[in-house]
Amino acid sequence: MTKLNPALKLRIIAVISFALIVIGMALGTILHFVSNGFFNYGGEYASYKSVTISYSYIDFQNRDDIEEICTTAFDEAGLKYYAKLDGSSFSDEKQLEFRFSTGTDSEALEAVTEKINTKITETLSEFIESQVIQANALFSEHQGLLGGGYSLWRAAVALAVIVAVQIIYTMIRFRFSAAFTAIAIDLHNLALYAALLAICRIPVTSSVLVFGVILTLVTVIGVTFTLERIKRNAKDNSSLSVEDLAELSARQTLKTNIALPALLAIVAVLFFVAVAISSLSISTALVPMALALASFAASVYGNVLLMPYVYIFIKNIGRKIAAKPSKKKGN
Amino acid sequence: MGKVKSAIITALLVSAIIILTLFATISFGVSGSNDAFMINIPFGSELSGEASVTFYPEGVIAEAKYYSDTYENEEKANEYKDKYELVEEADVYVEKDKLYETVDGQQVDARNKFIQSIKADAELLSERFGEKGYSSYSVTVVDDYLIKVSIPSGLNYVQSRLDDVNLRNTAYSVASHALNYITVDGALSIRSGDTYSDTNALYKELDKSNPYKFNSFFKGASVFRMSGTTALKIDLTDEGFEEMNKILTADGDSSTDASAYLFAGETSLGLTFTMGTALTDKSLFFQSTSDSSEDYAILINSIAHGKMLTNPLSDVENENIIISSPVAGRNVAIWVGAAVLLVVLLAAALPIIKYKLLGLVNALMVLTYSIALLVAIYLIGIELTIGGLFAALLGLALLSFSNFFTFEAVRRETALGRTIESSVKLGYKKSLFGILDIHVILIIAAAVMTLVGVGELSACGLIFLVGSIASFALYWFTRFMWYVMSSLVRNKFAFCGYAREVEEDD
Repeated sequence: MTKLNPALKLRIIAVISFALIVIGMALGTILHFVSNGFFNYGGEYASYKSVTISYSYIDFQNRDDIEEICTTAFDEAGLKYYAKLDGSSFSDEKQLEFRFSTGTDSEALEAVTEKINTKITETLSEFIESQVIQANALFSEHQGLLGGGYSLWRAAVALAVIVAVQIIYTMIRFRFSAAFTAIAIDLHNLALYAALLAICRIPVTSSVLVFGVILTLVTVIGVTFTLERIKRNAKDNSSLSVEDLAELSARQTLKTNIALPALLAIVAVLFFVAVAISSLSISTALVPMALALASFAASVYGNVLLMPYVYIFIKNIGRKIAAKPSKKKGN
Repeated sequence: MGKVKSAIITALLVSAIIILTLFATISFGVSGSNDAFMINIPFGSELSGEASVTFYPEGVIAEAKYYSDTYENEEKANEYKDKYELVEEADVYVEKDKLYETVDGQQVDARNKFIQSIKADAELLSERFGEKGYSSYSVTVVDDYLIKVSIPSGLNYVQSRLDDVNLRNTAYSVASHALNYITVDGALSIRSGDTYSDTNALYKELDKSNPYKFNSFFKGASVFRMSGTTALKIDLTDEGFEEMNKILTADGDSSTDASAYLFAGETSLGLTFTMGTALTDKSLFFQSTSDSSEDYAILINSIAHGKMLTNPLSDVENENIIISSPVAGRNVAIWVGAAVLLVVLLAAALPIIKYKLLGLVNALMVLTYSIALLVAIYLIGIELTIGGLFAALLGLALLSFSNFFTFEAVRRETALGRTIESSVKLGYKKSLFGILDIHVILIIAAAVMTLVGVGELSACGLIFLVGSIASFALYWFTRFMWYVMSSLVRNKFAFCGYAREVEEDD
């Protein structure tokens, strides 16, 4: 089998990355202007529709009757809610809120709300007439807000500072070429993560920030670990070429660079299972897990496949720059 | 090290872990004692639910209120009929003045303008609540005319499980304060008494081109914390300092008492100044709880920077606050807790298969890490979310990674025919810089996350900061315990699960 040279490998890997990033950014930018945003904002940024049943009672205890009336009505209308929240106030007024995605038909929801109100009146008439219970269903549309993106820009500043710290540290410990490699991989992984989110249209919650930062931390671990190995290998065997050195170190750190993100992905999947069991809904848990998997995919791709070749590329540029004055001297 | 000494140290460590685990998980029914500290860790809204309030902007009332106010009251019914109009799509009554305006003698529809002003108010509220640093929160515009704000309920596990208002009293009060004060409208003013309607503004606005001049006297506000004392710190501008002194030392003002009160709109912030006493510093301190100080600081900063709500919002009473179950269901904390426990147990148990008794040393470190993190989260009072648990497990992964990396480095040395003692020495020496590099960068990164990030990111950063430091400390403690526990066995290679390289005779 013909062995591909590092330059060609870098070209292939970079083209795939570049294509994914460009597609993601372009899609996100288009959707920012024509649809619901660069990312598919969800969770606390989300707009949603709800049917809320407020009820208060004196000695009526069977909340499940109300829930059954609602779920039967939703099933009959073919409407699927993604979350069900039980609420209570200080004055012991109760609420049962069903949340629906913004794509759910408003007219159908309004119709089903009326149906629920009728059904509640029929089924619980005995309690309502004796004023033991008051119950009323209400349909609402909630328009979510980004709040000036305060938490987003603070997270962006935090990420920028983390990357800057890593570069300074890498520059001191491993020289300039390593620092440039680190910044390239950090930015690549983050851009790839953002592009994957924009392409997959996963509803973005504040978890996106957490996983974005975890991705950066995993990248920092992977890159630093590989650079340290390159430094040690160079010390142990000074006859190795830059290409051999980078590829040998990448092979030696391969297990760690895959194992750490993989372990974290397994933990994310375990969390997903736990949340899915609790909510009895796969969609609720799917979002954070998808965010986690997107961040780990980006980190493995960047740290394992791209990093050694970027290092070789930058090192060779450095050599060329260093060689120029000596040529002049020779002339 | 002698076998007795090593047995004592091992027994002490194991006992410490067991005792701390007991204190973490079991409540002792002794009068005056605290509950198990694990129980008292506050959860974020993902795990314990949210506290929410629906605000009615001025001029908007609920359909139910309309009917209750006009029920069997003909005079009121006529008044309301002239004043309000039903907006069916939102099930609310809105004042006609808000829906229509007169331009050139003609009545034109002003509905969209009013809706846009509500949306702008909601944006501003979202910005203000964003600065509160909640692990998560939301501000939504409901049916165009109402604003719903949801913040973490701040309940611990027991409070979230038991739907009882008495158990949740503190949570209602904290949520109520934030929801009441962060949503205050109007400009800052200083008045002669604590009640808006009965008192006069002590700073009389003369410049009509700048009706909010008093706001510009405030440079900003922040929370001051030192040695357990928390206060609201307000910084005045140079002009503000002079003007405030003029106000406070002015003679003959008909003050109702010897104090002046700071107001935002028509709401007293409960911050008092002593009349007749000049300020000596441009920074003013008002002792208050941490939560309250944060709320006031956010409000004052927002108003001082010219960001005021257009529509005054309805007041928040405890009765209006709805505490909801988590979106992922009432049992989410139990299930996520089970997942975390499973990960910790796997991290402790799996290495034993590969590294035998050395794996047991690692297991002790994993348990020590877990307990240390729990204690830190409880003592610092970090709001625990799924992201926070993930950050804690990332720290655990860092510890495990550091240990396995070193165990493998030592294994490589033993494969060269060295003794365990020299292999451990060399293995730790060779892996030191890699481990140190990663920990230094990650500790700085975690500190940056904590200080620069807000909300869940900041909480996760703090947990990860504690986790990274614990990881590095326990990395060295692993070496010590390796040395201590291996003293108990004769075959050191078997202790570590390493195969002994036997040199062949020529």
